[in-house]
Order: sequence, then structure tokens, then C-alpha cells
Amino acid sequence: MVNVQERYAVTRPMTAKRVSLILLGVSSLVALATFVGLLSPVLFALVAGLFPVALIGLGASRKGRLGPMVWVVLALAVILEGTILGLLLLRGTVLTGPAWLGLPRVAALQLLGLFVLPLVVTGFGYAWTFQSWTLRDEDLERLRARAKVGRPAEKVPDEGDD
Amino acid sequence: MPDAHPVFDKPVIVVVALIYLGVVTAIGFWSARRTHTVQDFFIAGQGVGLVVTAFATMSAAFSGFVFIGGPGLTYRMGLASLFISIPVSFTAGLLCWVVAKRLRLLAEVRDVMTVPDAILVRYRSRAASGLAAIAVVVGTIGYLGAQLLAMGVMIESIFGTRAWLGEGSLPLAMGAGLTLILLYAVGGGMVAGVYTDLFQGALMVLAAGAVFAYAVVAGGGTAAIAESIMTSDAFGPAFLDPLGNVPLLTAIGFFFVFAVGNLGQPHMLHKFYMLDDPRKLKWMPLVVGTTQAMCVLIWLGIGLAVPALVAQGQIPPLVNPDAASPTFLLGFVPALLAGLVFAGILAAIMSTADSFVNIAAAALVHDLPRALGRRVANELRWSRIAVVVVALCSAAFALAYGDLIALLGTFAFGTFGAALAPAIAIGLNWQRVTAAAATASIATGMGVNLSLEFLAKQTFLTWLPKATFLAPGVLPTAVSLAASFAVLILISWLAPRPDQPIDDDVVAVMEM
Repeated sequence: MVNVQERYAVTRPMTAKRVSLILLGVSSLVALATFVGLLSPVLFALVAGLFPVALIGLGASRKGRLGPMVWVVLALAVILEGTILGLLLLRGTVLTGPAWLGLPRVAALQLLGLFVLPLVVTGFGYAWTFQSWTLRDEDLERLRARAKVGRPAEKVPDEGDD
Repeated sequence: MPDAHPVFDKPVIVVVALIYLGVVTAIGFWSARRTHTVQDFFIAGQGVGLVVTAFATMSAAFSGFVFIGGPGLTYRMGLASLFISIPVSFTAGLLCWVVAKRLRLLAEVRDVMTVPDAILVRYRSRAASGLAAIAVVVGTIGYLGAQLLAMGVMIESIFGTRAWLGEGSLPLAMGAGLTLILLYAVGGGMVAGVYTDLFQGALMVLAAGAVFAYAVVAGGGTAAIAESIMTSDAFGPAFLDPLGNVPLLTAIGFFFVFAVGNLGQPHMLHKFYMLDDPRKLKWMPLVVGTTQAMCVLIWLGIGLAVPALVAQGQIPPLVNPDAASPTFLLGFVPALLAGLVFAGILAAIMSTADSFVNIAAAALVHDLPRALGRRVANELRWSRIAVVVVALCSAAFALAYGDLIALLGTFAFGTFGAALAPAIAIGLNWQRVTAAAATASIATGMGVNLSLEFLAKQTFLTWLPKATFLAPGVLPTAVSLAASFAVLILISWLAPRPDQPIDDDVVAVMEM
């Protein structure tokens, strides 16, 4: 039986961690450029939605791959970016747009896309992928066994360590 | 704050608040008897289950700002203010994927109890760890000061002490709150903190749900609330446009800072060390996210209902937006529920304050001496002394800056986020990050944040320039957060590969 990590190791390229880091680096620079007026604030709005997704991609990747997490990351990216794009496009339509849930659609979009849906996707996505990808029992047992046998002596680094 | 004096007008509120304070004090005394070691004091002996850890994380994250400042901010700037609170829907997942698992697994292989501990183990750098400890102390003084000030204002509001004591009321109210916090923080340390958080968190969730329902009903339903606000001269349609009432850089800046900055909040990260089994992280994002989302309902409910009630003429316009919550609770909610909510707000403030005195004590007694190559002989005893010292310093600082609760809170959140988030979040997931990059990132985050805040707020050095190079509406905390990420990533990319290997057991944790 092929476990989920081996399956994805065969079929997915080793790019998730690198893509996440590139996104984070570029997003940081774009943000700084918008803060000093070199780029449009709209670009900051778009990278602000990407930033947490890229961080999750970085944290969830193992050996550079996302495995089943790729669906969670993609879903969250679509939801956050789509919502922010929608908010940008719907600016100034409070009076003209039809109401959702009793609220103007731009307000309902904010609540649905940045509050309700991300909670469902991340909450259940984390639980769904936890045992197969995030923390497998055998990996934890291996780490604990290693800690018992080869635990290095606790020490404060000397000056040379800096 | 409203002029009403609940101690006379609605004694039920005071009775409920007093019962609450009694329960919290009892938990403190009970916990003190269970605190025997420094591990008990700082990380509750690493023996806490999912629900308690989740509620402790949620309670520590939510302070008086959510319940008092949040609705007040919405009253002032409309739905743009929600960009501060709605990222809680995914920040618990973000924390768990990026840092929680690795911090908890580090505790499996090393004796780590604090965030600077994790930085020391990861980078083997006393400079990086020491700077992180300084950032924790600096941020804590601001954050704890804001909590103590908010608590003083709440106690004044509940007991109406300003009518009797005048200007001396606030320091005395803060002193009462400080005494209560110290009672269980000094004695019980984190054992007291987490069990108090469980009680407080449950109370906050229940109260927030009930108040949201009352708010919607009081405003006549969501459609009537929206209609009243949109047609009001005082608020208008822009109030309900998330990007309509403030500059785009401010609104999205809130989202950026309060989503990504979460990764550097030591009072939240600290909680993950306490979990008795890392496999219990499985349901953490759902439990923490759901409970936080429930609490945000009070922000949303009161934040929308009060402007609608003002627009409908049911209450007069607020002179001080921070009075939105007390005004609604005293006027539109049954006294018993209002008492529970006031107690819940006190609970939120106290649980956050307790977490902060604890981590600041750890930074002073454990992390900084370790960064200097020393160890404190009796950490438990000195931790208890440090708790008192930190709390007193924070109270003095808050009193000196009296009216800056929100400013202090935002500044402290930004300091933690900018200084610690990149070194922890990227550093625990990318082996190429060097000690030099982490140290530079921490220094950049803390330095830029302090400098921009100082330039923006100071008025006594008239020859100093303002930060006019920034675009209108930019948040200083957003600048420092982006800068610290950029510094860490660029140095790691551009510098030669680190020649100092990471310890094998730490690499094993990073690769899991």
C-alpha cells in the first residue's frame, strides 16, 4: 500500500516550498513599494490576500511538496483573492447593488469570503489532512525515539556561535 | 463611558461581576497549590488537553479591544474595522500549519518553554534569542499597559467609581484589577492562567452569541439595520462599504497586520507548548477558529446595531465611540446578560493580561539571562517577583500615556508581529535562514516599528520630521512587518549557504 506522501512524491514536482518563498519575498517587496507610493495600493490588496496562503503553503509543505494540502491551499487562495478582488470591484455599489442576507452585497461578500468560508476551509482542511500529511503517528514515534536516544546536552551557545 | 451607575441602577450587574471575580480568585488559589516547578509556571507542566489549550489560546488573543474597542472602531469607521477581526477565521489554521506543530515538536526533543527558547534552539544564536526576548518585553509593556488601562475603565464603568473618587478613580480601579491579576498570576502562573481561560473563554463565547442576537433584534433585523445606516446623514452608504470609509492601504493594512502578525504573538505561540500530545492539534484550528468567530459576533453585532439605533433616534449620537458597547449593554440587554458580558469583558482583559505577565517574566528570568550566558538560580521564585515588577511597570506606563489604549495595543501587536513572525514562521520552515538573517529581521521589525510610531505620535521634539515618505493611510505596523519579512528572505537568499549546521533533532522537527 502506497502512503499518501509516497504517492504525491512520484506525481508532484518539488516546487511548493520554493513557490511559497518566492511569493512571500515578492509580496513583501511589492507591499513596501506601495507603502512609499511607488505602486498602486490595489497591488498591496492583492498581495495581502496571497501572503497568508503562501505562508500556509510553506508551513504545510513536506520535502517541498504539498500533497493533499494542495487543494486546501488552492481553495483558500481562490476564496481570499476572489473576495478581495470582488470588494475592489464592488466599491461604491452599496446603494445600487442588491442585498444579500439583508446587507448590501459588498458587506455580505466581506463576511462570507473573509470570515465564514476561510473558517470552514482551514478548520476542516487541517483536520482532513492531519493524519495523512501534517503529523503521522509513525513520524511522531520516530521523533520521540530519536529524542530518547540522541538528545543533545542542553547548552547555551558560546560566543563563537554568533 | 455612559453616565449610568450600574452599582445603584442595576445591582444584578455588579453581583454577577463580583461572583465572576470570586470564581477567578478561587481558581488562582487552587492553581497555586498545583504549581511546583518552573515548567508548571510557564507552560502548565505541558499537561493540558485540546479544549483547555484552545480556549486559552482564544482567550489570550482576545482582549478588551475586541469587546470595547472593536464596536467603537466600527462606529467610527464602518465595516473597514472588521478587517482587524475577521482574519480570525483562518489565523488559527495559519498558526497550526506554520508554527504550532513545529513549536510543539521542538518541545518533544528539547527543553523549550518560550519563543526566544525556540529561536535559540533553531539558530544557536544568543543575539537572535536575546533580541527576541527584548522584543517580548517591549511589546508586553505596551500590551499589558493597554489591558490594565482597559480594565480600570471597565471597573469604573461597572462600579461607577468616578462619581465618588473623581480623577483618582482610574488609578484605583487599575490597582484593583492589577491586584486581582497578580493574585493568580504570581501564585498559579500558567496553571492558573489556562484554567481561568477555560472558564473565561466559555463565558465569552456564550455572552457574545447572546449579545449578537439581542443586537440584531434591537436594530430591527439586518435589513432594517442596513437601511437605517445607509439613509443616515451621520453614517451613510460608505459606512457599509468595507473599502469605502478609510484609505485602501489602511483597510487592507489591518487585514495584513492582524492576519500575518498573529504568527509572532508570543502569548498565543506560548500556548502550543502546553498541549500534552501534539496529535491533539488536529482539531485546534476548528475549535480556536470557531470560538474566536463567535466572539467576533459581539464586535459585529454591537458595531452595526449602535449606529442603526443612533440613526433611528433610539439613542443619542455617541461623543466617545468607545462607549458603544457599554451603552448598548446597559440599555438594550437584560441586566443578568449585561452582567455576564461585563464579566466576560473583564475576563478577556484579565486572561490576556495574565498571559502577558507570564511571558514577560519568562523573558526576564529565563530568556535574557540565557542569552547572556547565565542562568537564574531559582527561576520559579524570581519569576514570581518578575511578574510583580512587570505588572507595576506596565501600569505606570499606561497611566503615563492615559488615553492611548488602542494605540498601545496596536503598537504592541505590531511589535510582536514584525519582530518575531518572520524569524519563527519562515525560520522553522526553511533551513537556509541564518542566524544573521533572523537577527537582522528581528532588529528591523522592532526598530522600524518603534521609529515610525515614535515619529507619528511624538509632539515634543518639534525638529524631528514626520514619516512623510509613506503613502496616505499606511499603517506603521504594516511597514515594519513587510520590512522584516523582506530582510529575512533577501538575506537568506543572497547570503552564502549557512556553514553552521542546524542540530539534527531540530532538522528532524523542521522536516516533519
